[in-house]
Parts: sequence; structure tokens; C-alpha cells
Amino acid sequence: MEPSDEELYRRIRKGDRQALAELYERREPALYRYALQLSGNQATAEEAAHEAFLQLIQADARFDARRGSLQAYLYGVVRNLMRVAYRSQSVGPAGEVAVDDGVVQTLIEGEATRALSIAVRNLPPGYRDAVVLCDLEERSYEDAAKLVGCPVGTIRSRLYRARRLLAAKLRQYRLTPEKVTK
Amino acid sequence: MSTGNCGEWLDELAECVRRGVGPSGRLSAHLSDCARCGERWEAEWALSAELRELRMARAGQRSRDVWRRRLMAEFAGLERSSSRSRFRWAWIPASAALLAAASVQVWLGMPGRSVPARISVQSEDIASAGLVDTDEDNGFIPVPYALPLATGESVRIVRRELNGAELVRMGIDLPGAYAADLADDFEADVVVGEDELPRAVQLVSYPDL
Repeated sequence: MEPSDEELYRRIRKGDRQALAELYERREPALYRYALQLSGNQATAEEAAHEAFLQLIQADARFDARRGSLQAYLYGVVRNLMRVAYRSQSVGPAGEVAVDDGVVQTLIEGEATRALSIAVRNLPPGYRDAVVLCDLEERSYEDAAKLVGCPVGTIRSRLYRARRLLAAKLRQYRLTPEKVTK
Repeated sequence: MSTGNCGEWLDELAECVRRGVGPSGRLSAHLSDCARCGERWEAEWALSAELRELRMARAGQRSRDVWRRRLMAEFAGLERSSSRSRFRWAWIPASAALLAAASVQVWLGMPGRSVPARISVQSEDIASAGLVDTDEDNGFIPVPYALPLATGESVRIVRRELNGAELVRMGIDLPGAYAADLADDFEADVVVGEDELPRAVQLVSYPDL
């Protein structure tokens, strides 16, 4: 039976490099994808995922198993880093955050998909988390709720509202593409 | 036939699309009746298709080796500094002891100094033996004008290398005949108090002085 995240964390605190490597292999890929979906920027996402692990190994790491899972802690760190990154960026006249698409956009072939990518990142934070975790990361409502730290019903309702907003954006894009992608 | 208002179908509609399943009987009937919900159904399917594309686009391979190595290096660095800080308090007394030992060595390394050779003895023993405030018959020469020992103060006898000049500085008056001979270092037992000041000296190399 493989050790839990929390067990690995305990070993990490004792200086176990193997435990850190194991936790990294287990959690970093999804953490990176999450950061990527939030930021749209590969470099930013890699930095954020790395920073989450760095914070975890610091002597003054704030993880407390009584307050939630280690996975939720890591996602929380990335989410906060993304918030800081968003705040530091300029806000457009329509109130939408201008996000640098970076390298990731080159991976998206379809214009509509690219527009959707921007729309996802411009959703209100709570809605964005719900879409990224449930629809892009394909996590269950229960998992997403634990990672975000809110009731399952809240995740579900945020997701449905977010999808309505996104569907409207997509429809609008198909009618007038240039207005949506700007 | 009424199939309810649109609001009550929205969530079920989205859930069906997310799961990739067809509408239930009642929802299907509502979609047939309601053009608006029919459009929403189509829009949700289109959205799911685009989200799938987005998911695929971002599932591309990337090299994590560099980041993994960086993390491991950081961890190793933290471990090293943590080990250092763990032993920081142990180093303080150890360093102090080393410093003190080095100071003693430097002091003893000065001309006329050598390593102490005698064990500690109690002042009562010294006094009872007449080592401090007695005459020269016991072999110890009292240091003139030295502070008297306090009651219960312990003294030690340490073996040192001295020379004539140092004895003179202590106030011990050497007979002129010996002065020239005592220019070189010689061994002496020195009685010192807790203040490390000499109280009496016995010349080991010149017992008949």
C-alpha cells in the first residue's frame, strides 16, 4: 500500500529525499496543469508548481493536517500565487484581466478553443476554479470541494454558472470572433 | 403539454452534457418543447467539445527534470542549513571551550610558561602543610604582598616554566649568586589561588635555593 501524502510529508520533515521525490511525482503534474489552466502561461505554471513544493519543504511550512489535506494545501498555494499574479497584471476597460497567453496558446490549434482558454481565465476566481478542477482536470465535485475548501453544492452551482457564461462567450465568439479574443 | 419552467432543467441539462449522456425522458420532452433550452443544450455540447480540446492541448509533454532537480537541490540545501542550526547551540559551548583552551595554550606558550602539572589541592591542605604563609623551610617561597587567601578558598599547585625575571616581577628577591644561573627557564611549582594569582613558588630544578 502506498503511503499517504501526509505520511510522505512527515518523512520529508525528517529529511527523507525519497519521500519528497515520491510526493513530487504524485502531485506535481496535476498541480502544474491546474496552474497552467489558471494562468495560461507555461513558465508561470511551472514556477507556481515549483513554489508550492518549495513552501512545503521550508522549515516554517504552514501545512497543518488538521486543517485539510496536503493536496488541498498545495492547490491553495498555487491558487494564491495565481491571485497575486492576476493582481499584478493590468485590468482592461471591460474589467477583464489581460492575461499573457505565453507558450500555451501555441499548443491550441483552434481559434475557438483559444478564445475559450482566455474566457476561462477571465472568469471570477470561484467559477474559474470550478471549471478548471471539474471540467479540465476532471475531478469529482467532492474532490474539487475539498481542494477549494467549500461545500460540494457550492462547487456544483459555480460550475453550472461558469458553464453558462462560457457557453455564452463561445456563442458570441462564433458570431463575432474578434471581439471575444481581444 | 407543459414540461415545467426552464430554470429547473438547467442543472440537469449541464450535468447530462458533462457526463456525455442523452437527456432523460422528461428533459427530452422539455427540450423538444422549448427552443431556448434546445439552444442551450447545443451550446453546452459545443462548450464540452471545446473544453475537451483545451484539456488535450494542455496535456502535452514537458520536461520536469530541471524542476525536479532544482527542488531536490533546494531540499538538500535546506537540510544542510537545518543540520547546521540543529547543532548551533552545541557549537557555542564547544567553541567557548576551544577558545579558552587556545587562550591558555597561548598564555602558556609565552616565554616562561608551561603546562600545569599538579592536581588541585585544598587551601587547608596547603595551609596545614605550611605552604603559603610559612617560611622557606618547606621549599615554597611566599610571594610578598600577595593577597591573603580567603577562608575556604582553594588553591592549586601548577607546574610552570619560569625564569629569574619572572620571579623578580613576583617580588621574590633572588640572591645575586643565583641570578645569572636563573637567566634560563626552569621548572617551578606555583601555588595559585582561585584568582589565579601566585601565592608561593617552589623551584623544582633548584631545590636548594
